[in-house]
Amino acid sequence: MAAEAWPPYLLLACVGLYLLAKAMRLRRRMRTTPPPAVMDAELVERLNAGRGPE
Amino acid sequence: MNGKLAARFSKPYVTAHRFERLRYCRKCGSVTSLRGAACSSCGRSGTLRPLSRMGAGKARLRVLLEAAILAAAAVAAVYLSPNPLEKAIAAILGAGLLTGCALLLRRYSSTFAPYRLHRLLLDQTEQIARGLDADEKAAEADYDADRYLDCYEKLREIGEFLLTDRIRYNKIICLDHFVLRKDMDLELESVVPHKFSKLFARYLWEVSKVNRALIREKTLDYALRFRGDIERLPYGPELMTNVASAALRSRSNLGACEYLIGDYAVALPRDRFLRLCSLLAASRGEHPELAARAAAVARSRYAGDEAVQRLARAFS
Repeated sequence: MAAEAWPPYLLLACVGLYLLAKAMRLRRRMRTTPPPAVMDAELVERLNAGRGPE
Repeated sequence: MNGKLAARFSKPYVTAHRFERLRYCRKCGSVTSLRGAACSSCGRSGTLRPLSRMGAGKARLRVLLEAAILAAAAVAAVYLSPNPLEKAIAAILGAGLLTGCALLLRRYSSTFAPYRLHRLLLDQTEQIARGLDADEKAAEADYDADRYLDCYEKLREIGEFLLTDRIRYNKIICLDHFVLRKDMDLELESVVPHKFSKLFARYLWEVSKVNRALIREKTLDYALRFRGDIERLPYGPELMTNVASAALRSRSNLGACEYLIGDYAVALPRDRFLRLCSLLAASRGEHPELAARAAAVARSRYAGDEAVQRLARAFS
Protein backbone atom coordinates (compact mmCIF):
# COMPACT_ATOMS: atom_id res chain seq x y z
CA MET A 1 0.00 0.00 0.00
CA ALA A 2 1.43 3.41 -0.99
CA ALA A 3 2.44 5.76 1.81
CA GLU A 4 0.07 8.47 0.56
CA ALA A 5 -2.88 6.02 0.94
CA TRP A 6 -2.45 5.86 4.73
CA PRO A 7 -4.21 9.10 5.85
CA PRO A 8 -7.65 8.16 4.46
CA TYR A 9 -7.46 4.61 5.82
CA LEU A 10 -6.21 5.94 9.17
CA LEU A 11 -9.18 8.29 9.27
CA LEU A 12 -11.60 5.46 8.49
CA ALA A 13 -9.89 3.21 11.05
CA CYS A 14 -10.38 5.95 13.68
CA VAL A 15 -14.07 6.18 12.75
CA GLY A 16 -14.34 2.38 13.00
CA LEU A 17 -12.67 2.32 16.43
CA TYR A 18 -14.90 5.13 17.63
CA LEU A 19 -17.99 3.24 16.52
CA LEU A 20 -16.74 0.09 18.23
CA ALA A 21 -16.19 1.98 21.49
CA LYS A 22 -19.60 3.60 21.12
CA ALA A 23 -21.27 0.22 20.57
CA MET A 24 -19.63 -1.12 23.73
CA ARG A 25 -20.67 1.96 25.70
CA LEU A 26 -24.29 1.71 24.49
CA ARG A 27 -24.36 -2.01 25.32
CA ARG A 28 -23.10 -1.28 28.84
CA ARG A 29 -25.66 1.52 29.26
CA MET A 30 -28.44 -0.81 28.20
CA ARG A 31 -27.39 -3.33 30.84
CA THR A 32 -26.95 -0.80 33.66
CA THR A 33 -30.06 1.35 33.11
CA PRO A 34 -32.71 0.14 35.59
CA PRO A 35 -36.36 -0.28 34.61
CA PRO A 36 -38.63 2.76 35.28
CA ALA A 37 -40.21 1.14 38.35
CA VAL A 38 -36.78 0.80 39.97
CA MET A 39 -35.84 4.39 39.02
CA ASP A 40 -39.09 5.50 40.64
CA ALA A 41 -38.46 3.59 43.87
CA GLU A 42 -34.84 4.80 44.03
CA LEU A 43 -35.90 8.42 43.53
CA VAL A 44 -38.45 8.24 46.37
CA GLU A 45 -35.85 6.53 48.59
CA ARG A 46 -33.29 9.28 47.88
CA LEU A 47 -35.86 12.05 48.45
CA ASN A 48 -36.85 10.58 51.82
CA ALA A 49 -33.33 9.74 52.96
CA GLY A 50 -32.51 11.77 56.04
CA ARG A 51 -36.05 13.05 56.50
CA GLY A 52 -37.14 10.24 58.84
CA PRO A 53 -40.60 8.66 58.76
CA GLU A 54 -41.95 10.98 61.48
CA MET B 1 -72.24 20.43 59.88
CA ASN B 2 -69.77 21.82 62.47
CA GLY B 3 -68.66 24.53 60.03
CA LYS B 4 -67.16 21.99 57.64
CA LEU B 5 -66.90 22.79 53.96
CA ALA B 6 -68.43 20.94 51.04
CA ALA B 7 -65.58 20.23 48.65
CA ARG B 8 -65.07 18.54 45.32
CA PHE B 9 -61.53 17.27 44.77
CA SER B 10 -60.10 17.41 41.29
CA LYS B 11 -59.53 14.02 39.66
CA PRO B 12 -56.23 12.51 40.82
CA TYR B 13 -53.52 12.74 38.18
CA VAL B 14 -52.72 9.12 37.34
CA THR B 15 -49.30 8.21 35.95
CA ALA B 16 -47.56 4.88 35.50
CA HIS B 17 -44.54 6.16 37.45
CA ARG B 18 -44.18 8.91 40.02
CA PHE B 19 -41.34 10.74 38.24
CA GLU B 20 -43.74 11.44 35.38
CA ARG B 21 -45.53 13.87 37.73
CA LEU B 22 -42.46 16.09 37.98
CA ARG B 23 -42.06 19.18 35.81
CA TYR B 24 -39.27 21.69 35.55
CA CYS B 25 -39.39 25.41 34.90
CA ARG B 26 -37.57 26.43 31.71
CA LYS B 27 -36.84 29.86 33.20
CA CYS B 28 -35.64 29.21 36.76
CA GLY B 29 -34.81 25.50 36.45
CA SER B 30 -36.71 24.53 39.61
CA VAL B 31 -38.71 21.32 39.76
CA THR B 32 -42.32 21.02 40.92
CA SER B 33 -44.77 18.21 41.54
CA LEU B 34 -47.80 20.49 41.40
CA ARG B 35 -50.37 20.48 38.60
CA GLY B 36 -50.87 24.24 38.25
CA ALA B 37 -49.71 26.24 35.23
CA ALA B 38 -47.42 28.52 37.29
CA CYS B 39 -44.00 27.61 38.66
CA SER B 40 -44.19 27.46 42.48
CA SER B 41 -40.67 28.96 42.77
CA CYS B 42 -40.61 31.88 40.30
CA GLY B 43 -44.38 32.23 39.74
CA ARG B 44 -44.09 32.39 35.91
CA SER B 45 -46.86 30.73 33.89
CA GLY B 46 -46.47 28.44 30.90
CA THR B 47 -42.83 27.63 31.56
CA LEU B 48 -43.26 24.15 33.03
CA ARG B 49 -42.21 21.12 31.00
CA PRO B 50 -42.07 17.42 31.94
CA LEU B 51 -38.82 16.66 33.77
CA SER B 52 -38.12 13.75 31.41
CA ARG B 53 -37.74 16.28 28.59
CA MET B 54 -35.04 18.25 30.42
CA GLY B 55 -31.94 18.24 28.21
CA ALA B 56 -33.67 16.22 25.45
CA GLY B 57 -32.94 18.93 22.85
CA LYS B 58 -29.23 19.00 23.73
CA ALA B 59 -29.01 15.20 23.58
CA ARG B 60 -30.64 15.16 20.12
CA LEU B 61 -28.27 17.90 18.92
CA ARG B 62 -25.31 15.87 20.21
CA VAL B 63 -26.38 12.77 18.24
CA LEU B 64 -26.80 14.86 15.08
CA LEU B 65 -23.42 16.55 15.58
CA GLU B 66 -21.74 13.20 16.12
CA ALA B 67 -23.30 11.79 12.92
CA ALA B 68 -22.21 14.92 11.00
CA ILE B 69 -18.57 14.59 12.23
CA LEU B 70 -18.47 10.91 11.23
CA ALA B 71 -19.92 11.73 7.80
CA ALA B 72 -17.35 14.53 7.39
CA ALA B 73 -14.53 12.10 8.30
CA ALA B 74 -15.78 9.60 5.67
CA VAL B 75 -15.98 12.37 3.02
CA ALA B 76 -12.49 13.59 4.01
CA ALA B 77 -11.15 10.04 3.61
CA VAL B 78 -12.52 9.91 0.05
CA TYR B 79 -11.13 13.38 -0.72
CA LEU B 80 -7.66 12.51 0.63
CA SER B 81 -7.38 9.30 -1.43
CA PRO B 82 -4.75 9.74 -4.19
CA ASN B 83 -6.36 7.86 -7.10
CA PRO B 84 -9.84 6.80 -8.28
CA LEU B 85 -9.40 3.20 -7.07
CA GLU B 86 -8.42 4.34 -3.58
CA LYS B 87 -11.29 6.87 -3.63
CA ALA B 88 -13.76 4.09 -4.50
CA ILE B 89 -12.39 1.84 -1.72
CA ALA B 90 -12.53 4.72 0.83
CA ALA B 91 -16.08 5.58 -0.31
CA ILE B 92 -17.24 1.97 0.13
CA LEU B 93 -15.57 1.70 3.57
CA GLY B 94 -16.93 5.11 4.64
CA ALA B 95 -20.44 4.20 3.52
CA GLY B 96 -20.17 0.90 5.41
CA LEU B 97 -19.07 2.68 8.59
CA LEU B 98 -21.86 5.25 8.32
CA THR B 99 -24.40 2.46 7.75
CA GLY B 100 -22.97 0.70 10.83
CA CYS B 101 -23.36 3.92 12.80
CA ALA B 102 -26.98 4.29 11.65
CA LEU B 103 -27.74 0.66 12.58
CA LEU B 104 -26.08 1.14 15.97
CA LEU B 105 -28.16 4.23 16.72
CA ARG B 106 -31.30 2.46 15.57
CA ARG B 107 -30.52 -0.63 17.66
CA TYR B 108 -29.94 1.35 20.86
CA SER B 109 -32.24 4.35 20.28
CA SER B 110 -34.82 2.90 22.71
CA THR B 111 -32.26 3.05 25.54
CA PHE B 112 -31.31 6.72 25.05
CA ALA B 113 -34.34 8.20 26.85
CA PRO B 114 -34.31 5.78 29.86
CA TYR B 115 -30.56 6.28 30.29
CA ARG B 116 -30.86 10.07 30.15
CA LEU B 117 -33.81 9.94 32.56
CA HIS B 118 -31.83 7.78 34.98
CA ARG B 119 -28.89 10.21 34.91
CA LEU B 120 -31.28 13.13 35.26
CA LEU B 121 -33.01 11.66 38.32
CA LEU B 122 -29.64 10.92 39.92
CA ASP B 123 -28.18 14.37 39.16
CA GLN B 124 -31.32 16.36 39.95
CA THR B 125 -32.26 14.73 43.28
CA GLU B 126 -31.21 17.84 45.24
CA GLN B 127 -33.10 20.09 42.83
CA ILE B 128 -36.21 17.89 43.07
CA ALA B 129 -36.01 17.90 46.90
CA ARG B 130 -35.75 21.72 46.88
CA GLY B 131 -38.71 21.88 44.48
CA LEU B 132 -40.82 19.70 46.78
CA ASP B 133 -39.92 21.96 49.72
CA ALA B 134 -41.06 24.98 47.66
CA ASP B 135 -44.29 23.11 46.84
CA GLU B 136 -44.83 22.46 50.55
CA LYS B 137 -44.34 26.16 51.28
CA ALA B 138 -46.94 26.97 48.60
CA ALA B 139 -49.33 24.53 50.33
CA GLU B 140 -48.64 26.22 53.69
CA ALA B 141 -49.46 29.61 52.14
CA ASP B 142 -52.77 28.18 50.90
CA TYR B 143 -53.54 26.86 54.39
CA ASP B 144 -52.73 30.22 55.99
CA ALA B 145 -55.08 31.89 53.47
CA ASP B 146 -57.86 29.37 54.38
CA ARG B 147 -57.68 27.76 50.92
CA TYR B 148 -57.91 24.26 52.39
CA LEU B 149 -58.89 22.51 49.17
CA ASP B 150 -55.90 23.94 47.26
CA CYS B 151 -53.64 23.11 50.20
CA TYR B 152 -54.88 19.51 50.35
CA GLU B 153 -54.51 18.98 46.62
CA LYS B 154 -50.95 20.31 46.74
CA LEU B 155 -50.11 18.06 49.70
CA ARG B 156 -51.64 15.11 47.85
CA GLU B 157 -49.15 15.67 45.01
CA ILE B 158 -46.18 16.24 47.35
CA GLY B 159 -47.19 13.14 49.34
CA GLU B 160 -46.52 11.01 46.28
CA PHE B 161 -42.82 11.69 46.85
CA LEU B 162 -42.39 12.59 50.52
CA LEU B 163 -43.52 9.71 52.69
CA THR B 164 -43.29 11.49 56.03
CA ASP B 165 -45.82 11.68 58.83
CA ARG B 166 -45.69 15.49 58.68
CA ILE B 167 -47.22 15.47 55.19
CA ARG B 168 -49.75 12.82 56.28
CA TYR B 169 -50.83 14.83 59.34
CA ASN B 170 -51.08 18.03 57.30
CA LYS B 171 -53.28 16.24 54.76
CA ILE B 172 -55.54 14.97 57.56
CA ILE B 173 -55.72 18.48 59.08
CA CYS B 174 -56.92 19.79 55.70
CA LEU B 175 -59.36 16.91 55.23
CA ASP B 176 -60.79 17.70 58.67
CA HIS B 177 -62.17 20.94 57.16
CA PHE B 178 -64.35 19.06 54.64
CA VAL B 179 -67.60 17.16 54.82
CA LEU B 180 -66.52 13.68 53.72
CA ARG B 181 -68.70 11.92 51.16
CA LYS B 182 -68.56 8.50 49.59
CA ASP B 183 -68.18 9.92 46.06
CA MET B 184 -64.97 11.78 47.02
CA ASP B 185 -61.57 10.43 46.02
CA LEU B 186 -60.58 10.00 49.65
CA GLU B 187 -57.26 8.52 50.61
CA LEU B 188 -56.67 6.38 53.66
CA GLU B 189 -53.84 3.89 53.19
CA SER B 190 -51.46 6.67 52.10
CA VAL B 191 -52.09 8.73 55.28
CA VAL B 192 -51.59 5.94 57.82
CA PRO B 193 -48.91 7.30 60.20
CA HIS B 194 -46.18 5.35 61.96
CA LYS B 195 -47.29 6.27 65.48
CA PHE B 196 -50.64 6.41 67.20
CA SER B 197 -52.41 9.67 66.39
CA LYS B 198 -55.80 10.86 67.62
CA LEU B 199 -55.96 13.01 64.50
CA PHE B 200 -55.68 9.98 62.25
CA ALA B 201 -58.00 7.87 64.45
CA ARG B 202 -60.68 10.53 64.11
CA TYR B 203 -60.19 10.69 60.33
CA LEU B 204 -60.33 6.90 60.16
CA TRP B 205 -63.61 6.98 62.06
CA GLU B 206 -65.04 9.57 59.64
CA VAL B 207 -63.89 7.54 56.63
CA SER B 208 -65.17 4.26 58.07
CA LYS B 209 -68.63 5.81 58.24
CA VAL B 210 -68.70 6.94 54.60
CA ASN B 211 -66.55 4.42 52.74
CA ARG B 212 -65.53 1.26 54.56
CA ALA B 213 -63.96 -0.16 51.41
CA LEU B 214 -61.00 2.20 51.88
CA ILE B 215 -59.95 0.27 55.00
CA ARG B 216 -57.37 -2.15 53.66
CA GLU B 217 -54.31 -4.04 54.93
CA LYS B 218 -52.22 -1.08 56.12
CA THR B 219 -55.14 0.44 58.03
CA LEU B 220 -56.13 -2.93 59.49
CA ASP B 221 -52.56 -3.41 60.66
CA TYR B 222 -52.64 0.07 62.27
CA ALA B 223 -55.96 -0.66 64.02
CA LEU B 224 -54.63 -3.95 65.38
CA ARG B 225 -51.34 -2.37 66.51
CA PHE B 226 -52.98 0.53 68.34
CA ARG B 227 -56.22 -1.20 69.31
CA GLY B 228 -55.85 -0.32 73.01
CA ASP B 229 -55.31 3.39 72.29
CA ILE B 230 -58.21 3.50 69.83
CA GLU B 231 -60.61 1.74 72.19
CA ARG B 232 -59.94 4.37 74.85
CA LEU B 233 -61.30 7.10 72.54
CA PRO B 234 -65.01 8.04 72.94
CA TYR B 235 -65.78 6.77 69.43
CA GLY B 236 -63.26 3.89 69.71
CA PRO B 237 -65.72 0.95 69.97
CA GLU B 238 -67.75 2.24 67.02
CA LEU B 239 -64.57 2.72 64.99
CA MET B 240 -63.30 -0.77 65.82
CA THR B 241 -66.70 -2.24 64.83
CA ASN B 242 -66.40 -0.51 61.47
CA VAL B 243 -62.82 -1.80 61.12
CA ALA B 244 -63.98 -5.33 61.97
CA SER B 245 -66.72 -4.93 59.34
CA ALA B 246 -64.12 -3.84 56.79
CA ALA B 247 -61.89 -6.80 57.69
CA LEU B 248 -64.67 -9.12 56.54
CA ARG B 249 -64.09 -8.01 52.96
CA SER B 250 -61.56 -10.79 52.43
CA ARG B 251 -61.35 -14.33 53.75
CA SER B 252 -57.60 -13.94 54.23
CA ASN B 253 -58.24 -11.28 56.93
CA LEU B 254 -60.03 -13.80 59.15
CA GLY B 255 -56.74 -15.19 60.43
CA ALA B 256 -55.03 -11.85 61.08
CA CYS B 257 -58.09 -10.14 62.60
CA GLU B 258 -59.59 -13.20 64.33
CA TYR B 259 -59.66 -11.68 67.83
CA LEU B 260 -60.82 -8.26 66.65
CA ILE B 261 -63.69 -9.76 64.64
CA GLY B 262 -64.56 -12.11 67.50
CA ASP B 263 -64.65 -9.26 70.04
CA TYR B 264 -66.83 -7.05 67.85
CA ALA B 265 -69.02 -9.78 66.27
CA VAL B 266 -71.85 -8.90 68.61
CA ALA B 267 -71.81 -5.24 67.46
CA LEU B 268 -71.63 -5.99 63.72
CA PRO B 269 -74.62 -4.93 61.59
CA ARG B 270 -76.73 -7.90 60.44
CA ASP B 271 -75.40 -7.88 56.84
CA ARG B 272 -71.78 -7.96 58.10
CA PHE B 273 -72.60 -10.71 60.58
CA LEU B 274 -74.13 -12.70 57.72
CA ARG B 275 -70.95 -12.09 55.78
CA LEU B 276 -68.90 -13.38 58.73
CA CYS B 277 -71.06 -16.48 58.92
CA SER B 278 -70.71 -17.17 55.21
CA LEU B 279 -66.91 -16.72 55.40
CA LEU B 280 -66.74 -19.12 58.34
CA ALA B 281 -68.94 -21.60 56.50
CA ALA B 282 -66.64 -21.37 53.46
CA SER B 283 -63.52 -21.92 55.60
CA ARG B 284 -65.00 -24.57 57.85
CA GLY B 285 -62.69 -25.73 60.64
CA GLU B 286 -59.94 -23.16 59.92
CA HIS B 287 -60.92 -20.74 62.71
CA PRO B 288 -62.60 -22.84 65.44
CA GLU B 289 -62.37 -20.17 68.14
CA LEU B 290 -63.91 -17.47 65.96
CA ALA B 291 -66.56 -19.92 64.75
CA ALA B 292 -67.49 -20.71 68.37
CA ARG B 293 -67.80 -17.02 69.24
CA ALA B 294 -69.84 -16.31 66.10
CA ALA B 295 -72.12 -19.27 66.90
CA ALA B 296 -72.66 -17.86 70.41
CA VAL B 297 -73.61 -14.46 68.93
CA ALA B 298 -75.93 -16.18 66.45
CA ARG B 299 -77.67 -17.99 69.32
CA SER B 300 -77.98 -14.95 71.58
CA ARG B 301 -78.66 -12.10 69.14
CA TYR B 302 -80.16 -13.73 66.05
CA ALA B 303 -82.11 -16.60 67.67
CA GLY B 304 -85.17 -16.02 65.49
CA ASP B 305 -83.31 -15.19 62.27
CA GLU B 306 -83.54 -18.20 59.98
CA ALA B 307 -80.90 -16.97 57.48
CA VAL B 308 -78.32 -16.52 60.25
CA GLN B 309 -79.23 -19.82 61.92
CA ARG B 310 -78.88 -21.71 58.62
CA LEU B 311 -75.37 -20.30 58.10
CA ALA B 312 -74.46 -20.82 61.76
CA ARG B 313 -75.39 -24.50 61.42
CA ALA B 314 -73.10 -24.71 58.37
CA PHE B 315 -69.94 -23.73 60.27
CA SER B 316 -70.63 -24.85 63.86
